[in-house]
Amino acid sequence: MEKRRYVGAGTTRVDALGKVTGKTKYASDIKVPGMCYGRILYSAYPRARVVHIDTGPAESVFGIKQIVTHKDIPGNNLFGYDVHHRPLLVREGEETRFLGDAVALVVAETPEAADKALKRIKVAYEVLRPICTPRESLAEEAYRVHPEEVQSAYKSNPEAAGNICYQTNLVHGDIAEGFEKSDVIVEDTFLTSRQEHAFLETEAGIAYVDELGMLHILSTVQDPYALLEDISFALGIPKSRIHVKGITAGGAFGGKLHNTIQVHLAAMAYVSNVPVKLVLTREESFFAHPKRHAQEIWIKIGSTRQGNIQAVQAGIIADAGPYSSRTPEVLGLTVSAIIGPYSIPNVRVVGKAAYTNNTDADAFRGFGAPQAAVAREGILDKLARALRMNPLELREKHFLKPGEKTIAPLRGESPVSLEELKKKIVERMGPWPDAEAGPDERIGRGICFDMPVFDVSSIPVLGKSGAGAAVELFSDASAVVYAGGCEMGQGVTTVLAQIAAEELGLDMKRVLVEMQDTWTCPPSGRTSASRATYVLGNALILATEKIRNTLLDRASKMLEIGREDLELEHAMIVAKGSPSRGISLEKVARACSDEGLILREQGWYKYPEARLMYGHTFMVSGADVSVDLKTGRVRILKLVNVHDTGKVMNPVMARGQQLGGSIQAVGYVLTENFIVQEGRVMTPSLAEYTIPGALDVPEVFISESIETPYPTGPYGAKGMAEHSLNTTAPAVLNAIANAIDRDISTVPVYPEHILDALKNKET
Amino acid sequence: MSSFDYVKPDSLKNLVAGLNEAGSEGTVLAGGTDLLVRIKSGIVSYRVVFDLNDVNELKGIREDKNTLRIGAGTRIADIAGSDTVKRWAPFLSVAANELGSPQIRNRATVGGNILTASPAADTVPPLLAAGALLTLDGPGGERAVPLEDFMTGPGRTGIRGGEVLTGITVPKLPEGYTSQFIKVGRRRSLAISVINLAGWLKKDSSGAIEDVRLVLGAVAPTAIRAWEAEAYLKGKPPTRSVIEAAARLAAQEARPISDIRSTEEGRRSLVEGWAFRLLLFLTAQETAN
Amino acid sequence: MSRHNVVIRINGKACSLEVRSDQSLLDVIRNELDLTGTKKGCDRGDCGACTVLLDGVPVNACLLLAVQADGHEVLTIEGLARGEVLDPLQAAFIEHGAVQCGFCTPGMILTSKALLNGNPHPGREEIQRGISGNLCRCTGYVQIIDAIQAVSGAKGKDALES
Repeated sequence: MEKRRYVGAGTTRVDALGKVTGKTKYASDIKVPGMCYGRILYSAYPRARVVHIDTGPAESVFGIKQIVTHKDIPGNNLFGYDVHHRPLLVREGEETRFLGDAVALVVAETPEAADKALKRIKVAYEVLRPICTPRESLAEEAYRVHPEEVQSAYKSNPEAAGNICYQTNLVHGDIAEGFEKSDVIVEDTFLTSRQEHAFLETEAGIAYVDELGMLHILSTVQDPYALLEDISFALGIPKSRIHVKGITAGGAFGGKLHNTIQVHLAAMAYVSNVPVKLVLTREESFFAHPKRHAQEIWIKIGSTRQGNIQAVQAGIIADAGPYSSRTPEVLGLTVSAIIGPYSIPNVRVVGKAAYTNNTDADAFRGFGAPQAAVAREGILDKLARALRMNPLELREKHFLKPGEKTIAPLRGESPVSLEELKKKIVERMGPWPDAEAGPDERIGRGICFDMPVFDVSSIPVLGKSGAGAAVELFSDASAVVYAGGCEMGQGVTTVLAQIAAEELGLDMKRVLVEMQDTWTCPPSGRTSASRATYVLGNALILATEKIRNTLLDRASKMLEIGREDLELEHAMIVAKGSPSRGISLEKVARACSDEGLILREQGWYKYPEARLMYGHTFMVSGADVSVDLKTGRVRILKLVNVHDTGKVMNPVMARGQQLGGSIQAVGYVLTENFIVQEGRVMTPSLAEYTIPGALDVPEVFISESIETPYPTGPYGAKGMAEHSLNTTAPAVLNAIANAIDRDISTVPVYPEHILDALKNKET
Repeated sequence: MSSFDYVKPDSLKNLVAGLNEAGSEGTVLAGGTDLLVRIKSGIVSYRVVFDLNDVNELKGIREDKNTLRIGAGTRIADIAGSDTVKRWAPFLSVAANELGSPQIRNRATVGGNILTASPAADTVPPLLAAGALLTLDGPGGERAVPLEDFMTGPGRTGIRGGEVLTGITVPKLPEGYTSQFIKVGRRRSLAISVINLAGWLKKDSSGAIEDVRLVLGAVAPTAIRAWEAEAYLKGKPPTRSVIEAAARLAAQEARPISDIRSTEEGRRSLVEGWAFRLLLFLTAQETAN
Repeated sequence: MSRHNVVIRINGKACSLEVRSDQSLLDVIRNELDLTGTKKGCDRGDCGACTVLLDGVPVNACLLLAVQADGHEVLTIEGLARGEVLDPLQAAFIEHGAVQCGFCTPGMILTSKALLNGNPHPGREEIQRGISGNLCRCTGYVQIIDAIQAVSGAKGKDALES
């Protein structure tokens, strides 16, 4: 095995020192001279016609620079990923579609003045009845949330009409025949709730127009390139005059993927011509940014008495919220992931996402796969109970075999590692626990396998094909990496530094990673879909390879040794086999620089095949829970995640990602409940929306990786960032169902649900 | 937040005088963990706040022969860390340790918790079970009010204009009694109680239940005694079926509402389950003496 | 709204300030004193991101009026390291992967500092209780607990000096 210095080691995060000393600046920490403060006046109603906006009383507040309405917006006043149907500012005469639609903007010299003015803007609304559920939305008589024809790049469903945001099917084989052949058929409907990202840092940014008329945005956004598109279209500014500088995020998880405040912030700065800082309050963050899609999944499964699954049928209804954005992709992934890592002969899955006036719905770690896993793994266990079969055995019978292709449209090429994962999970979980703990307590076990996806940069739509990274080696053999990724805690900055240092034989301390600046970094697309290590890592290696070639060529001349006999080691280029014959990297770099050789290179990575696909990997979670039959209280005794990450680039960081995602899933399934009623968020604080705290960590909590190298991944690495969230919830749900011998089909599940289920007859 | 003047009286006398003058436009600032949140959220506004954190007469835990005397301005953290409280009012100690979070406990006061009068307040059930007596000082002079008469509804108490809650007299846990407090939240800290319970109990020499008090919180406008469950239990042996029956009675006595945290039926089923667990615990314990 | 002249000892240095009655300690620290290491996560005492040590005790700076800190000592994250020398907790957080996005980190470290000052050898559950007022959305807490445990288990007085 190749000896490596950095890749695969638990090297210190490059940004850790700044974060533990308080020196790291987040967007809300930044100050610029002459800075003013902005506030957004959001709609007072989920659905209302804006009759009249009276800014007069607000304008007279001392310290106000400007109150901005739609009348002041120069461009199209519209934006949105894929479909530009989001208003920047709702016009008089137009309808609002949710509480996060903006009606006016305040720019003031102090936060207090901004707050005061915000309360004084008088908006006359004609209040209208909001659509509160997808079913309501799909009814004949429902009002059209988007009356105009919506042109989406994902529009592949001509029959989609009315309030359907997106619709897609997965059909394979003959479902009727499959159920014919089935001796045992079970079905259930799984209700999964919205989930709030609850990143600790609320949305924040600073924008200003400089003396040359360039608009600068300093904020956190996972996809700065989509933001260029949004700002340009909405405000009518050419992209060449917009600079987005990504600031390290205090958490994102998909909730800062697209515009959260940046378009409005840009409008504030552009229209008022002063620098503006905007920081959302926690309450605003709760209703303004999009959540994980709430989905209702009906699923039916049939198998022979011996446990050979013949058919799976499912219908998914998702709440798309008011705007399209990523809903087509999320729904597409849910539909594809219903089958998971299993071989099923006959499949029919229909998915629909409908517009409502509820909170918006978009990306959140897992991106539709967690919901699919809940339904799939839940119905597998229900079938296992009906068959009186071991749930693990039932699954193993249907594992994809090595070399077998999945029927799901999002095909991948990953080696199948399910058997190895199964061995590991069995080993780590130990023997199936004794069902009875105390007299009114039951212990149960649940398991969940998944085949999570990650983007490999090949999808030829919406600029998602190909991504670049650049690196410059200076004459003193120090280097800067330019990569458009977003550092949001996942450690992409560190991974890229590790790769650059490894590839160029540099000390990591001599590598600086400059992230996410549209002026200095090559276009790289979004930091999401667990793609950064794979796509940016590969792009970076293509760049470093060019520099290595330049260095080796030059060193060859300097040492008078054939190029093929040289190798690049740490800080040196040496002759293979006789390391005493060598030259320092610094000398070679200096020589190259002096000669005007190119030491700043860009790599552009695009997956070799241009077809719609993701990479796949494999994962398993196991959970042991104890359920108190009297109080319904659930304790997670043991939670084990085993994850095939291809190549663990940094074990300390990888473990952190795995543990963190798993705890987010513990929240998803046990502690978090995002309540929307009549289009209003009823839980708009971190007191009412309860994410797990330190005392909620399971008693035994293990997260491990195995490595089956991904042929096209950097060092064999696969994407991994999202995946740990996919499998924990189904494992816990199945463990509860196993413990109490009842069906459990809601997320979250509370003690009250369990007590209610216990009142019903045993399954 | 909406603005207010800030005054920091250095004595109880000055605090009372200031409050009296300000009338409904003034209020006390104790821990700030409820008041400042409400002011920031725009739920309440005042012209002036009187910071009582320097009024030493309001602080301290004193042990007397049969009672503990706790100053209303005593921090929850001090109650949680007090060996005296742990010994003589153990269920109050448990409640104090579960309230909020370490940071909140370091500022919040027991007086503030009582006066905010959330039906889910954590210190109220154990104080109610112990039969606590409150002392107040105001323009009309000093007076004492049993806690059970003082809590009048969600966010409402019997405090009069210009009055300051000065202290709480807590009867000590009598000899031979066991006690416990249980908090049920969605997570194990920083949680608002979905329900909470407190109780104390004594068994006679035959092992039957001689005396019992059971208080239910967050399932009525104020914390309530489960009188029927208590009456049922007295004199009975603590068998499983007796405890189950008492728990069912307690659940029926609860008058919960449906809100964002839970439903009426849901809370009732939680009361039944946790009252069972609480009574099982109290009857299974060996007493301290 | 009243104005008050206060003297607050921040990170060992006496700061004379004029503050407004309705200003929180958090806003004064971040905006007047430019100490932006202390973070605003919710402004309601629900998350602990704004934790500072007031006379050595962890409190939510968002729920303290600046005027209430008059005459008291405040330690923010900027005051923990001694020049270039990190506090053992800061070093342990780096080593054990206890830092991801970093937004909860200043508050988390200060709370841990106070925990170990009061209880030099806490068990794992005591550590969990100690940091139960500091929410983290990234790490799942395990590596944070590992880091604190590593410091508490470290031999030698140096590791435990405040």
